[in-house]
Amino acid sequence: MRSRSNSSFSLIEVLIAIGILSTGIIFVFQSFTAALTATRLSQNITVACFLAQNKMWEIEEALKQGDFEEQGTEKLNEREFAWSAELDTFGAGDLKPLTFKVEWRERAGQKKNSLEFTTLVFKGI
Amino acid sequence: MPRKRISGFTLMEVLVATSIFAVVVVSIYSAFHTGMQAYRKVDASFGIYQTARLVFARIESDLRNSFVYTEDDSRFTGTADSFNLLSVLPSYDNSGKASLNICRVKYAMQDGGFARSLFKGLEAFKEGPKDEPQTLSSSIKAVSFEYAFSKREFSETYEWQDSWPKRDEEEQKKSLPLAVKIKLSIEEAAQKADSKTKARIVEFIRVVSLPQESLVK
Repeated sequence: MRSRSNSSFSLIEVLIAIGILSTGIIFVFQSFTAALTATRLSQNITVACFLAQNKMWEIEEALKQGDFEEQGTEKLNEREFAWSAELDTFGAGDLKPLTFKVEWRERAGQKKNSLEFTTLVFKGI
Repeated sequence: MPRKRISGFTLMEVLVATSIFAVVVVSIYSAFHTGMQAYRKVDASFGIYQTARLVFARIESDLRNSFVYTEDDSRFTGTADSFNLLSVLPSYDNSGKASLNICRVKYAMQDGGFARSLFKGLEAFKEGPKDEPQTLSSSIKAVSFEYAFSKREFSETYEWQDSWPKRDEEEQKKSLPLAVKIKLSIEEAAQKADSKTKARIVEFIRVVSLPQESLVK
């Protein structure tokens, strides 16, 4: 006959099991937070892409007159997006590479994110 | 007889087991509950971004395929909250073969939300045929359009105006705007029907340029 202590779980065993379970649940909770953060990031990327498309059109238009704005900030949906543009005027031809960068902060300003776009724009004379 | 002691649980054992079980069940339930809440939150806030991308893509494709109808009338008319243009759209017959059609496209706020109306064939050139708007999204609460005008002279930059063509501007009647600026205000879907929290409204701006080169002579 097996002794009693072997036939069921002791309190210590159960407590350890709960401890392991709660560690697991903490990771489950963390995954929700991570999902929310990732959502926020991808939403901001969407907004940054709209901003970049709009500004790059403005820059291309401004280039027809000569000069363009090289940097600025835009407040979209209560978040600051800083952008900067750089035109590489070297190289042959009328099409020049334009590099456009958008930067913003997430998680109460702790994390800095940025996106960079490059396109060819028409630069006559 | 020792047998009697082994065969049952004491009250203490049952209480301890129940409370441990309760702790485990509550933590698992709260994990699921938080998961559902997070899902609803993400779904609601992502919906507006999906709507924005979809509606912008639709408008963009129509604007980029627009053309000038005759030399003295481009047939592009726009106000701050709606616009009409001629565009080339593909249509498919029963065998799935695509053909291109000239259509008049109208974007405006209607009763059901922001809507697009299509006038195919000869209807495109008639004034006021029956409007059958197709609602793009009911969560769009406000729209605003601006039209860029440039005199195409070397020293002149473009200007934004809230209608096209601007009154007394013959030149604008003949041409398409340089670009259209679209502003959409989209409301987040309510997470609960009786929710007292104020619905979040997100604004999106997109500038779409139109084909121009055919006008240059």
